[in-house]
Amino acid sequence: MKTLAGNGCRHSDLFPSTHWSVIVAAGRSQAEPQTAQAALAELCQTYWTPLYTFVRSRGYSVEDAQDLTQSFFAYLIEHKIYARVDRQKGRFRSFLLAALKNFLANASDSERTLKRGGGQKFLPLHEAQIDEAESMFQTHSGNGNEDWIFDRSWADALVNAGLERLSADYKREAREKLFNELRIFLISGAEPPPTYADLAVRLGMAESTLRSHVTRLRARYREALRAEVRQTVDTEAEVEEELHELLCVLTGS
Amino acid sequence: MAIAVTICSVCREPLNAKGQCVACLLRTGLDKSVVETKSPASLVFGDFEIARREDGSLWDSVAARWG
Repeated sequence: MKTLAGNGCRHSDLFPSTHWSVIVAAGRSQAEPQTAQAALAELCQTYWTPLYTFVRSRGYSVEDAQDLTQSFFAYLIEHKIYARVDRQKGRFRSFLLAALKNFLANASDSERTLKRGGGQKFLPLHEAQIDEAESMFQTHSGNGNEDWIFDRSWADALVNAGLERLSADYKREAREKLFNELRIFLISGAEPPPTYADLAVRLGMAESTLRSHVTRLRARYREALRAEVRQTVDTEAEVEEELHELLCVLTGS
Repeated sequence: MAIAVTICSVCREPLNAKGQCVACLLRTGLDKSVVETKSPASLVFGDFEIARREDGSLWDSVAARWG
């Protein structure tokens, strides 16, 4: 990813350069379009599932929703929608949802057919990713409106991006096995995690050492998650707001 | 199609398709104590852990804990 030359922060808590800031800068002709498009592609790849589930919640079939989601990305690039972004008016999540609604309202049948017939795929996708997206839609389609499903899917995509970032870090340090053993303390599930004492015995380490590893894992995950959020917002305060907002979506409080 | 939803053992929120509690994972991102309880500069060597005090000095936190 290219960095932006001279994008000095106007406010003290603005991040130096993120995917979102690069996209916004391109809209102001302060960054190369190719750089912005690469940033946009990466974000759309990460948040493909929320886009797909939103389209599905509009009543489109599985196949049409896949085509439309791909076409939407092409629409963002070809029509330089990112050039219309007003950074003061919101975060990447808000921008993307508004743009998707506009796209679905205005996309003509001929445009859709053209994209579908051409078989042009702008975002590389795996079958597993498509299956997971459909599973997400099936799980939540009866629980809320289309905006809620989008936000719910966004939260899911966000935490998974954070976990993948963390997993990659441990792998790079040749500590993947440790990560896999300890991740149960991070990812609450249906079953309660083992006690520190039991796991310490199984792993052959002191309980105090295990606790230290878990504390560090949680701290590193927190930073990985917030790093992912930073790609889509402007300030550290907005990182907090984004996490709070998504948590409220999930818990309904 | 009805999908059975499993509940988190910690917060009772529904788990996602991978069996993860997204709510708990978001809370961890908001939990300031996660970073405040332990300096990221601390290091673990076997049973020993070298942590950093607020003034920047280092100490063996595990040895100190067990006297």
